[in-house]
Amino acid sequence: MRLVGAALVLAGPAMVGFRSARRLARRPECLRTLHAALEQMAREISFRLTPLPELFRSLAETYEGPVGLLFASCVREMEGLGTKSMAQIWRQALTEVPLDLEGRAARALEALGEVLGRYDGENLRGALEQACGELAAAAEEAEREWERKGRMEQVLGLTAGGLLVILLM
Amino acid sequence: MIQQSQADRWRAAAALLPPHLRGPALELDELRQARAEELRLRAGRPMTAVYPEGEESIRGTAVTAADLPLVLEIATRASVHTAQAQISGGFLTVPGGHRIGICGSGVMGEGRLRNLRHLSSLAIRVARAVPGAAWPVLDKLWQGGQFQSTLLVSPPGAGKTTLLRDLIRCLSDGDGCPALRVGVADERGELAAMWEGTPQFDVGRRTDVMDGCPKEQGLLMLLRGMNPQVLAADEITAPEDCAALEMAANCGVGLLCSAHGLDLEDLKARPLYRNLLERRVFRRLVVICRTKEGRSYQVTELC
Repeated sequence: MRLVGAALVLAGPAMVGFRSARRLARRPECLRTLHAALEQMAREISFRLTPLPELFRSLAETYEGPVGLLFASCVREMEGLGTKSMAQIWRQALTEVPLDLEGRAARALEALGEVLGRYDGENLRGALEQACGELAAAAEEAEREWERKGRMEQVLGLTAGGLLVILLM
Repeated sequence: MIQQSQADRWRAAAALLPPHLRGPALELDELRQARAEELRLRAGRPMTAVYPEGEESIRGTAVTAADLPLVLEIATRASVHTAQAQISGGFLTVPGGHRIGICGSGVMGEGRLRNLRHLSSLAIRVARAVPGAAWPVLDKLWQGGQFQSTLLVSPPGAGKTTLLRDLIRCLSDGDGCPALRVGVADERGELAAMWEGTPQFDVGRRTDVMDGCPKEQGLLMLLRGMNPQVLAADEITAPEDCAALEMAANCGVGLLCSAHGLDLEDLKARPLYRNLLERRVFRRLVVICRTKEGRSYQVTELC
């Protein structure tokens, strides 16, 4: 009974540590996927002049996880274009989908919403390239953060759990 | 029935407006909706509707500068980048055939107008089909069982495109005349309003439409590829258009075109049209006049 209790006490903080580490590991991957999706957008706009609804639909099908969900949300909400602007639709999708963005990446994507749908191809490509640059830099930062903090968070969680067990026993 | 269909077209055009402007536009009674020809939006001013007798304000809030790009965003389904070439030309044709005229500050580059920014006003011209509009003139455009190449002339907004569209329908369906194959070079997309390969307006069963490409290229492609008996094009304005028409006329194809102008004298005073008239490319001239009672047509035999 005491052993089971000790295991449960150990598991709590350890889980917190592992979850935090997993979040750190997922962020660079999400940022790189977003970067790839925006690069694809820029290519489609440059070479095929693809309309945004069609482009978002194709990106929603191509990318899995939160990035696919971001574009799927835009496609869904664009049915109501006219009652909401494209900038509002984009902002809403960014808040609804768990992209876990912070700092420069979040700011870059929010700024992109102001350009989507209402600017010519040249300005749109410029804005996409700028957002891509910010996302690439944010992905590198997130990678370094994972290397620096990822293992530490796991060890800290386990250590905190162990310490609690010792104190309680 | 016709009134309801015209009102439906007004409502489709009003759907291009942001919500705070759309409401007042849809609150007009059905008769006004059916009669209105244009919606005009000017930054800082109330929205207006253009009727045959003049322009009237529509009750509601004033148009803001931010509303104007929003209209283009709605009209292009948030894809302004796909319509840049048209926007640079000062107008945009949207599904349903409605045309949005655009005013703003020009952005020049490499010696040409590349874009319009800081939009100041928009004119949404409601596309309308009036079946039967061509009947008063149709029989005057034939001689000895042959369709005579015809030029329709009027100032802007007098109904050239509506008359041209119905003439195309009549010729193609054989409505009041023998049926002919008609090729339409619809550069601005106003005549047939093609949407995913299907015309949104009735342009007849024997009509082939080339849209979205320059008129002169469209005319020549139709001539080479579709074996038309009549070639139709709206608003002849460039020497290249005239050259293509002349080539088609030399191949024995009938022509049906429109041009901005007042009357025959006005056309003769302009070198582009004087040349076409001297070379007898057109044999009939239809001048459209707007009167208090409606429209009247004056048909002149040119040769």
